[in-house]
Amino acid sequence: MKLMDVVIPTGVIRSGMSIGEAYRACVTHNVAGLPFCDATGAIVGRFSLRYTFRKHCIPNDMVDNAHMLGDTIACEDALEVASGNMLNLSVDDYIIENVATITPTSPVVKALSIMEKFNSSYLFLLENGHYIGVITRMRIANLMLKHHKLL
Amino acid sequence: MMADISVALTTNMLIALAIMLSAYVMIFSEILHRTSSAIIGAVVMIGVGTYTGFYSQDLAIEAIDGNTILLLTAMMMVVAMVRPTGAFEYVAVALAKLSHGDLRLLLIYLSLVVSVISMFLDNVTTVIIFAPITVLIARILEVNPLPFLMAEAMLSNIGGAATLVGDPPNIMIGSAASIDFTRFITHMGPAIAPVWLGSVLLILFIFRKHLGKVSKPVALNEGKAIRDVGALMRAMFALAVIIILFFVHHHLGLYPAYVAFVGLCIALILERPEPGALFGEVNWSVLAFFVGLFIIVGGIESSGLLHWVGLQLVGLTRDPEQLLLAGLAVMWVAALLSAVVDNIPFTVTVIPIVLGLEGMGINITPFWWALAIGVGLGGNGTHVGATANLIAIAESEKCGIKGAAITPLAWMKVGIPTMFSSLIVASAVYALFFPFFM
Repeated sequence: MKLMDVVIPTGVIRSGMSIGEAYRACVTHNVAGLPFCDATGAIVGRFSLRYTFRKHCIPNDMVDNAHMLGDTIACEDALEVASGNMLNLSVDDYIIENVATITPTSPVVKALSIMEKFNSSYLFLLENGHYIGVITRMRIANLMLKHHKLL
Repeated sequence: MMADISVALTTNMLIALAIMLSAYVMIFSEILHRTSSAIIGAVVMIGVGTYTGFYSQDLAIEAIDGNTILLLTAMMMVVAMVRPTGAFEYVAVALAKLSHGDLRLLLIYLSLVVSVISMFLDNVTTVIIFAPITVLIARILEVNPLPFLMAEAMLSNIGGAATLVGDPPNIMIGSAASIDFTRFITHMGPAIAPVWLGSVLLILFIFRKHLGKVSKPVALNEGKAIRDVGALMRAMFALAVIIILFFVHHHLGLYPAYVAFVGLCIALILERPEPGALFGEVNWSVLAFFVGLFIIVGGIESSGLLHWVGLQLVGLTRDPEQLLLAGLAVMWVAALLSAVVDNIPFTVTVIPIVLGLEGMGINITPFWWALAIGVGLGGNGTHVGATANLIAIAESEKCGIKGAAITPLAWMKVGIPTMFSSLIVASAVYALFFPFFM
């Protein structure tokens, strides 16, 4: 199995884009995050669905006590999500600096190890410094199933 | 080798004083992390003291109060095993439901439980646990968590002042003065109980506009808080053994630290925690900070400076009729200083001075209680007065609820009146029942 077999080619996120546009790009490609590039095209960070939800919609106190939450809770943060205000905000304030990358010649086990190390479900494939696409656990699992003719 | 006791200031005393002041400036100004500053100060004190002859490595090791360090270590490990059981979250949610939307009752219940827990466990840990669940309860009830967070931090500090193990300065005082757990709580309890009541009433009055009634239900399932009933029972059993032994440790000739380790052993045998995770929960930075301070103050003591300070104070304290005034002065100075700077370095420095007075024929017992009351209550005055305050503030800032963020000024508007009313009440009890504190 080669990483080029499982890569998902995508565009990148750039400064000034809205969270809504970034969400659309993620949803279109079925990935949980995308690289954030500066004007020169260099990857300087990443946009993550999880991080924006965590920063904007889920308070720490809810996360800490998530196991106790009832089904009838309602709070202003949920309204914020429903109203869609968040989607109009710029992505610039929601970029994570640490980026996990890998090259096409790396084995799949290395890709999985890096995802584990970064506590992430995806990483970015770069060839000679140029962005190729996203590697996800889902795509690796998908290819495994196909390889063993279980899908 | 200790320096010859001198009635005049010597060069060695001034050198030791300069090293201590430099270390304290670094600690209070936070130029470096306070632990780093204490370690650097300790190393310099030993090095310079050895070179000039007033201190040595052996004296530095003797200066470390093993009972304090070991007691804190054991209790940190016990807390690390109690905390994940979810017992505290269970209690908080159950009390929230018991208040039936009456926010005054909710504040009283949460303050009471935080105070009681802080009497036996580290109050910083108590606030770390209670602050997020308090914010969540407030969020669900759609009320401002600010009054609850401030009340919890302040009453946790007050509750911790009542017992030997409730606050690190108390551990140090108890260890230095050989005051056992029962004697500590029976002396501090009568002073702290009216202070607690007065503070709750004052906080209820200050926040009266925020504390009405709400009709929203507390949509939290406290039953889900307890993840492992067996683990909870085992941890509570170990904790119960520790608390029972605290009350009788002096009859058995046991140090409080040994008692804590007995309970820890029970928990280790019953719970069999993963060592890496358990030891990772111990706040080594705090322990290293205390060790550094003990060594620095040991150098000061060894230089003879603290004896010299004692000689200057002996005239003020020798007259039994002046003893009450001297005790009140200790209490208020300790409180006012603890409001603006870390009370640990202050306590560590004052303890040998008080001990030195004993050698000059002074009855120092009233000073121990005055010191414990002062450093315990002073921390409520400002946001930097106690670590629990900073935790409540951090929780209020990150919760994102409108109007919840506690600014330093907002803290002082409540903290200063609370501190002064507490000190007035405590001073009245101290003065009225002074023979009891002698």
